[in-house]
Amino acid sequence: MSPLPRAQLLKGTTELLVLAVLEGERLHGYEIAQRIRDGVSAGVSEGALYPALHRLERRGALVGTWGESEGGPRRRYYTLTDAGIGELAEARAEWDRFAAEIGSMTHAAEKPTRA
Amino acid sequence: MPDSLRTAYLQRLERELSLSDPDRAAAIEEIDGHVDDVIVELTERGLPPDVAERRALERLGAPERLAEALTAAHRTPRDVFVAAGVGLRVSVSTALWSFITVGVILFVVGVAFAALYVLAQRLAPVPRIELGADASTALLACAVAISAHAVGRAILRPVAIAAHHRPADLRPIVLTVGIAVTTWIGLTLLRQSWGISGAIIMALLPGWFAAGVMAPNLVPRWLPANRRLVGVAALAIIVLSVIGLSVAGPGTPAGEALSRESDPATEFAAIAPFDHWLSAPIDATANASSFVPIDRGAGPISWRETWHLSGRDALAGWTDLHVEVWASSANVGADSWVDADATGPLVSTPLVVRGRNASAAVSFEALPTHGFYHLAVVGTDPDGARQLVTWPSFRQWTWVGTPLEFLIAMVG
Repeated sequence: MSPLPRAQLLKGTTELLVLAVLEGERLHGYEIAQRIRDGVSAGVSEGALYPALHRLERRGALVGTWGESEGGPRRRYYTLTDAGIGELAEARAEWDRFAAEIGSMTHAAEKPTRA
Repeated sequence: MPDSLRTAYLQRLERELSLSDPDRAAAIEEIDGHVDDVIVELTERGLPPDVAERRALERLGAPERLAEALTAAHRTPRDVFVAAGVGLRVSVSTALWSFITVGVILFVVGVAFAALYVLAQRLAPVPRIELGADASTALLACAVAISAHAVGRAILRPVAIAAHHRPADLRPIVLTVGIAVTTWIGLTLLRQSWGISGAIIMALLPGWFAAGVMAPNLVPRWLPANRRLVGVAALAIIVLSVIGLSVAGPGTPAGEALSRESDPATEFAAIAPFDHWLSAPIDATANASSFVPIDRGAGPISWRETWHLSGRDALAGWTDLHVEVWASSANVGADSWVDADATGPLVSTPLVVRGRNASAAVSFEALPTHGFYHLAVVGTDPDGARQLVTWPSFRQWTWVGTPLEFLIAMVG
């Protein structure tokens, strides 16, 4: 078993992943979950996905509209708003800084120890 | 039933979602669609439909947790103020609506009860039961208590939806605020004059509210199961009420004139009113009252009254002080005076003066044609003139006529 469970690491990144998946796309909840699962092996909890979508929509980062799905009942499709695009850019930058800091810390152990 | 598991899940989810009706319906539809998609995905992978459905629901997690997370996603800081406003609006509108509704229902039930009461009194040898003012205050207290209960039943869910919290989470706050408010209202209303039963009902006002919050479905659960019984009972009450409202009292048809050997109006008028009413020895206006039972039942009328004198020596030198009861000219209080056909007082009993109190007890058989009587203190002043010491107070002991005529007279 990995000492770093991915599901735990992904907590707090659901909104970032949703924003990233929706960049330039119009998708409904199931499709968003699939895209995340395709890109990140642990995926996101589907029970956490819909609250995150509603939170982002209430915040104005997303806009949801009802539309017909392929051969089935209607689904709620989400797209990024301008505010969402800006939020994605900020979240990406923040994630990059965070990943860099974690990377620098974890790779510091590989440095030669002082005599 | 292939959808039973999903249906149960969605019902639990819907029950726990503290969202407005449109938001809740949209969330349920969205989750339902998601379950559809996952089932298709899993069945394409070879899972049986029932297993696929169970897995799809498991992936969403417990409906209560999903509902809590979805509800929290809609929460904003201003929800507190919105919820407070919703609570106030729901409380006021529910209280007013239920008070008016219950008031009308209690009036109708009260009329039915009065009719049944008269029916029992007039058709069966029931011991005397007098309907006093306590009954009316108890009914009013019931209306207030039912209104408090209705507010308790109605307030929690709208406030929870406005606050975007689970009702169970807000129950302690709603209970605390509601009990404080109903306690204040109860204590304020208890300053008014209530009978003992009305006072007890009012004192329990916070309890009625709390019961509404804690057990909002108590009455609806009971009513449908006994609908037929309630219907039969209501029909029986209506039929008996109609009979009761039209049943005549034993003295009503008589209507014969009493003896005309004397002119009581002249006789009564001959008693000179006290010359200086502003300093009358007995404050009669404080004792003027009306008591209006629909039917007093069988037996003599007994009446004990105490008056307060304007001073300890107010009646010094007075002699032959009596309390007299005279039949009234009318069957209702307005514009009634001593019956011109009366031959004299129905009863005259000595007035007992002790310190600043003057009291008397009278007992007499009611006339079959009269239900309304005047009570007056008469006496001879130190100069030897017969005086009317008090204005005649008035009381109604029974109604001569049908209850329907009584109601029409009261409304008129």
